[in-house]
Amino acid sequence: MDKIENLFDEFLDPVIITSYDKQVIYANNAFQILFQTTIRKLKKTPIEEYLHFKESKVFLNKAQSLSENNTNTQIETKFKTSDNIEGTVLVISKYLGDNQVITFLRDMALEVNLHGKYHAELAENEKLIDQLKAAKKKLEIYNKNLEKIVEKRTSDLRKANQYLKTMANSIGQALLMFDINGNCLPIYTKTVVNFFGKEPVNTTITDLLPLSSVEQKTFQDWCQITFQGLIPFKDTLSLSLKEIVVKDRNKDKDLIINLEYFPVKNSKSELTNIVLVGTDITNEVDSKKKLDSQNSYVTMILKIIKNKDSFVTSFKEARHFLNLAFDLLEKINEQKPRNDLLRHLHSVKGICSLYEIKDITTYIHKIEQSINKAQETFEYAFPPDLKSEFIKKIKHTQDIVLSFCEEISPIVGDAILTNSPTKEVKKDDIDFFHKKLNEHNTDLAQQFQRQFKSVPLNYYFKGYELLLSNLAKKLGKKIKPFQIIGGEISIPDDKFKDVFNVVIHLFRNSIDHGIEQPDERIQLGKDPEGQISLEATHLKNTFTLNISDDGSGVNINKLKNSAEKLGISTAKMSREDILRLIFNPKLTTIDKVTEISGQGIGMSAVEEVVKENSGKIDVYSSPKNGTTFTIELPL
Amino acid sequence: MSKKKILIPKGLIFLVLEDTLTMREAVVNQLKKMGFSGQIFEAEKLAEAKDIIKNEKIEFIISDWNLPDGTGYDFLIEIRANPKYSKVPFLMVTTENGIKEVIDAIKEGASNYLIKPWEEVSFIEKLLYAWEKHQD
Repeated sequence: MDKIENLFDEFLDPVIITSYDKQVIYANNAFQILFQTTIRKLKKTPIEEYLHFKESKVFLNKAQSLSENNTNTQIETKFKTSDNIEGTVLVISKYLGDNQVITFLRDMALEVNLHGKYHAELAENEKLIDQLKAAKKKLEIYNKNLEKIVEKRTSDLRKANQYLKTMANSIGQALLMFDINGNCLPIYTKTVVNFFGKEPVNTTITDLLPLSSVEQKTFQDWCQITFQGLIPFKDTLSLSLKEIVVKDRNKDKDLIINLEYFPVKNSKSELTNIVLVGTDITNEVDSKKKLDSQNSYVTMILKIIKNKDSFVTSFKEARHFLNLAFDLLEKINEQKPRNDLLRHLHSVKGICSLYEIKDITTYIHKIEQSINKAQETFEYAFPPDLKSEFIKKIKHTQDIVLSFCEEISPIVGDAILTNSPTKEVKKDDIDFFHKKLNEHNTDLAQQFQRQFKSVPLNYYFKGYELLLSNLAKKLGKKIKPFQIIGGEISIPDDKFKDVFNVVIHLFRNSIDHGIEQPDERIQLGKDPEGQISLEATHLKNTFTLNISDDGSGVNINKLKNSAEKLGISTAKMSREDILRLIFNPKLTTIDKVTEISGQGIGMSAVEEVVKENSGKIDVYSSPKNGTTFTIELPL
Repeated sequence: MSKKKILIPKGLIFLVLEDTLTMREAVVNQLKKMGFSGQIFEAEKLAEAKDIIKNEKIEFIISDWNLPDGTGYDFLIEIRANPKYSKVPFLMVTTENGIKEVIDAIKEGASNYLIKPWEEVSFIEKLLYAWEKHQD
């Protein structure tokens, strides 16, 4: 028995052993706890007095135990103790033998409680599920809205991107992006295709740009140090490829593209991509070249002017060396050392570069190079075809040099065109020497004056050519180049300066009133281009200037009418006298018809200046054949 | 660029390798002007520079590219191969014409480069950068 009791002591469910007379023999701890009693209490009285079951068959009596010996009947029954403890238990009793019955009980309240608890949990869970469902629904709605918002944003962005793209495309700059491996990203402007001939798709930047293999290597190396961040990005810029020349396929000319680089960094501020911006700077480069060449031309002129004397001397020397080179080349044979040829050319180049005469310097440099190259191949004389090529080139250099002399002679004087060396002398010194000479020998003094104190007429009148042709153009007339006959005649310095200055008004008058409009001249059977000329003659002690035009001649009738209006009677006047009326101050004032003739002084003023110089002026005119003014001046 | 304070010891020992006297003096004067009070070794030839690095403990090298008996690039290669000098700041000085070669020098471990004629501001900037680069 002891063993059985011990066995049930630790049972979680209540267990009780009773006798047929319902006396309690054993009750385990769980029993005592459930019914809130003690074994001692239980043993005092029969169990039925303490514990009442709704079902009576719980604790078996002898008859029950015998008849239902082998049945396994579970009974669920409510109970109530004498201490008013209530509950429900599941009961099963078994006959143990020896008039004893064992009863197992299970507290159903616990089951019910548990069930309730699970149910509550379940309900809680369902509630949660409902909440989740609601949340999900909300989320779906939100998502739908979000989609709409995103759609809207995306379309806005797309519009903005489109706008940016259009803008980027229209500014004519190439814009593209490449990554750490040099691969181009699908972000670029149309201009990229225009510049580089293809789309930057599935290509590396070094394949896209027209680079030689050496340049490719340099570019890749640059990418390497830049992406590795070996030096700050801004420091890599001066090492980058800054310019590239591409073919403009539309115009078949070269374009110069300026390249700029901008870093794209990630959130860790590591360089991930580089944006390349290409700009067509061809025009800027061209205009800069033009400006540079203008600047160097000005530098050249200034250098020449500052060192006028030494320039003339040096340049003559240069021409001399050029001639030497030419002669040498013609005579070249096995015996003549050819090194002299290069030496002479080098001297010419040296002098020209000293004065920054770029065109000649560059040209000679090219000849030097080709001669040098030929000398590597041919030890002695050049083959005939090469020789004649060099002769042609040196001859061409002589031509360039000569035309340069002509171009520069107005600045440095005609001396550069002659072969003898020149020297500049102060005018005061000449005057002083002339005076001294005159004291001793008048003949020699006169000779001296003619030689050193005179200037040719051309000096005064050559410059009028442009002025006259511009004037004619302004009046819609055409004239042939201004003709000067006897321009070489020397006139003592400053002697008739006033007269020469006033003669311009006669030229103006000729163009304005004399020369007809081209169509009018054609109708008259004349050359559409009029001719204005100056003829100078030198006779003994007089000096004559004839200023002629082949225009319409002076209108005698008009002159007469003008004179009559002023109260001058022309009835008894000869034709010559009437013509001479144009020098009348009153008449010339009236005749200031057009802006051109009226601009300066009238014919009367011209006559006045001539008279001041002890000379006289005359006019000859025949209708349709033109007018000639004759000025006679004493020497 | 943040205005981070860079601490650089005043007593740094420099080596200035430059063949033209004027340029060398310009570098030395600039260093003195910046307040460096340590010894400044000067060399005008590669051979001299090699002697100096053998016998002294140089802490900062400023080298020209074109030298009478070699290039600054040769010097750089030798310096970086030497464990004693593998982490010493090396500032390469060159002219506008030598810019393409600078990339090679950077690849080989030059700390930064400086183009002649330099301005004081960029000299200081590049020098500080070169120093900071090797202070990890």
